Amino acid sequence: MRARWTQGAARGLASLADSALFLPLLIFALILLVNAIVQPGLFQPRIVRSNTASFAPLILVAAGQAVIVLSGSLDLSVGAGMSLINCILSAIMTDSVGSSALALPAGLAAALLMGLVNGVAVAYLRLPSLIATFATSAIWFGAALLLRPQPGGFVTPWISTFYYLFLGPVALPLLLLLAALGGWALVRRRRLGRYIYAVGSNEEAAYDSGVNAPRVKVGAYLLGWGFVFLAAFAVTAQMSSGDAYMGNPFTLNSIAAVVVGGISLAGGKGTVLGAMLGGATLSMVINIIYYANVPSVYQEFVKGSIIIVALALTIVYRRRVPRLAGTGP
Amino acid sequence: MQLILELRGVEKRFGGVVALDKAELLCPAGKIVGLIGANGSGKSTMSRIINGTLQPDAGEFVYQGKRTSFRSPMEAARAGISMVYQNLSLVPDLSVWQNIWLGTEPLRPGGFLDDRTARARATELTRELCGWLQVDRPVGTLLPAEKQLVEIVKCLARNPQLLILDEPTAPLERAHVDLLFSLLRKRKVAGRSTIFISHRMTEVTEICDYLVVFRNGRTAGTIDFERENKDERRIIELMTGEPVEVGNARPRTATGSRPILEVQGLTLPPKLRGVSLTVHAGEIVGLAGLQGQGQEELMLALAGFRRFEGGRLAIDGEARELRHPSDAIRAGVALVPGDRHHQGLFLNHTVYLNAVYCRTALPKTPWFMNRAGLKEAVRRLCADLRVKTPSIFTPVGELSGGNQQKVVVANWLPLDPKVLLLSDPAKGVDVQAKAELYDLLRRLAERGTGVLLYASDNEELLRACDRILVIYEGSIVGELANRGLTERDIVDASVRSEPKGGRDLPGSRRVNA
Repeated sequence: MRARWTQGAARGLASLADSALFLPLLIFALILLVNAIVQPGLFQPRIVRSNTASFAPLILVAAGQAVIVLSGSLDLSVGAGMSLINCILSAIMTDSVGSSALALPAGLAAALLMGLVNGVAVAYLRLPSLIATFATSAIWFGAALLLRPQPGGFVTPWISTFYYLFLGPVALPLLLLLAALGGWALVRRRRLGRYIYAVGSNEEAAYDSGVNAPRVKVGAYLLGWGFVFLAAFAVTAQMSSGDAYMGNPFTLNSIAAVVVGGISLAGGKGTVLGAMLGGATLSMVINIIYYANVPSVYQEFVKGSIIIVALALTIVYRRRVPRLAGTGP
Repeated sequence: MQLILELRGVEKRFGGVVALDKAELLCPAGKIVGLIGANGSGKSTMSRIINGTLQPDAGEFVYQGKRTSFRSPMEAARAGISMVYQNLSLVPDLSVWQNIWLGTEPLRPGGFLDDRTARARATELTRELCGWLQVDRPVGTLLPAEKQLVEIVKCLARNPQLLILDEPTAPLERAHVDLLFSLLRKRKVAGRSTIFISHRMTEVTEICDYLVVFRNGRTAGTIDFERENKDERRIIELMTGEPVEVGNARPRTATGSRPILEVQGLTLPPKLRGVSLTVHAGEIVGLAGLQGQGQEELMLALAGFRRFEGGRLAIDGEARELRHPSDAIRAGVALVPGDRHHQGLFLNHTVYLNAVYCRTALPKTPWFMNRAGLKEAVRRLCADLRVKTPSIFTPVGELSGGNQQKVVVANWLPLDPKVLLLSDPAKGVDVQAKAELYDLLRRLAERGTGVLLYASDNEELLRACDRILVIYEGSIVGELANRGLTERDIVDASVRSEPKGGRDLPGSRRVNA
């Protein structure tokens, strides 16, 4: 009886250690522990809520980047895209409710359009995603600058109010995260979700099997940019204004989050949940540096060191466990 | 006889290379049609045209009585055509059952994947051919033979009107081949059509009702096995054309001279399984065999690019261990690699620089090189080898294929290699340059170099070599002295060396001495 129980536990542990989520979870837990030490009261509802609110943009954009990376591409323009969406929202919104009703669909349309442009460039024109999205990032940034040469503008206060509004323990940022997770869960259970993994793992084999690989890649970009829109919305609610430079750090942070979250940059391996954990982990790193009173001159240094260690752990571990490596040793 | 597929006058070009030249392929419905031909005869190109991964430049394509042409594998799949690809169409990160249904996933209402059904049905489908496989394993972790079986199950699961199998048996054991054949016969009973592409003569004569032979992108002939004899000699004749005259073969007996390259039981899984061979000083030895029997891997291993797991190697009587290409170069081994654009040359660098790079691998490279002396040496070498280049400062990429290949060979000459390995050096080289290249090899051999030459074209081997070794599934299975040899003898030895029943141990096969 007891033997069976320990056997079951051992098997459970083994399958956990094999799971693609194991390392992202472990790193998340470690960072969470450090964060709890340096930031007293981390688990108080008030602080949980405010942290969720400030972490949400990176977690959401990491989810978007994750979908794109899983399909075998990369997007260096998500940050600039967030800026542009932010500037569009701040340009259209006034005090009236009607302006919000116009601004939000306009922002979403802009996000999907940017995803479409990137997707078509990568999937149909067959441009390397790294360079193509680097180029489009300049376009998005340029457009954002045109709309808002200087930071400022005005965003309906209801967004901000709403963003920090709590329904008991539940706050809107949490709902945004759950919406992203739920959306991905739906897609993953459909053909598109399966094909995103297939195309990312081996595009030619997927195409030869009768998968419309280019369409899947565009689909991944569109879905990813849906998440980018949510991220931009969260950031706008936080800042209550428009800023063309706002999104810059999100591009590379989202890629780091994706890798810390256990997704292979080669595509096809990993989970979106892992990437979101990665986004939370990175956000906490920034938190830790703040609360540990790291002198500002060392902040970047410490942040970089933590990220490289997390990355090294992820990559080395994946190499050690051939089952996760896909193609074997 | 009702035809399910009619292809007439099909032409396909890749750049300047003609892959198919008015090829014809007629498939009777409900039969198994064999498609056979030498390397590069256009079999794979034809099959890729049928299933929509390639589009023909010209020709007539009639499927099920209707003129069509498929622009993608999706369209072909919708029309009931499915194909087992030579290099497989499996996604490494998806599991066995996910791969089996890739592109045709069973769905629940609302467009959601019905994974439970898919997994259960996949388990059922694999039972017959590979019941031991856990369907949850990622395909990337499977062995080559297991992958091949999954690919076959995947195509059979679609129950296609027309199934194309491009070399499905290459990594399989005989027992699995038998299983596959019984499944193909079942398809026949159900009235489904199959195209079976293979290099293995015995398999083709065993399973096919009808045989189409390709040669140089044309249909060389067809044999209806239901009416005509299964005459292997005639098939080989159709494959190779008229027996080739061996004009300028200059067979030499090198037994008197000292062995310069001795290889004993070289093993490098999965491709090389105990290769033993000897090359003597002054001898040109050819390496023949079907495509992908380990020729390229053998060359790379001998040049220090792959560390072999078993076996011994001696160069000029001295035992050597090659840990790195530079070890091989220092031991006096030079490789002219098969892919000269990627492995042999720095295309956008000049002829001069390309010649200099090789010398840096020598143990006693001076810190500073004598530029003037080097330039003079490179100029002399180019003149010697008749390299046609405007100047030695022309980027190599601007030369013709033949001249590029001469530059690759020229680079190694100043190092005075004891052993020269060449991996398909005449690929994409015109006739004139080819002749010059082989003249050069002969001159080198006369200076005492041992040459090991792998060429995908048997005719080249006949022209250049003193002795021809036949490689099959990673070991040497035959040795032919080049005296009155014809292309047919080589094809014969390559095709017939196929094992009977199960996986043989190397060496237990017939050796044609």
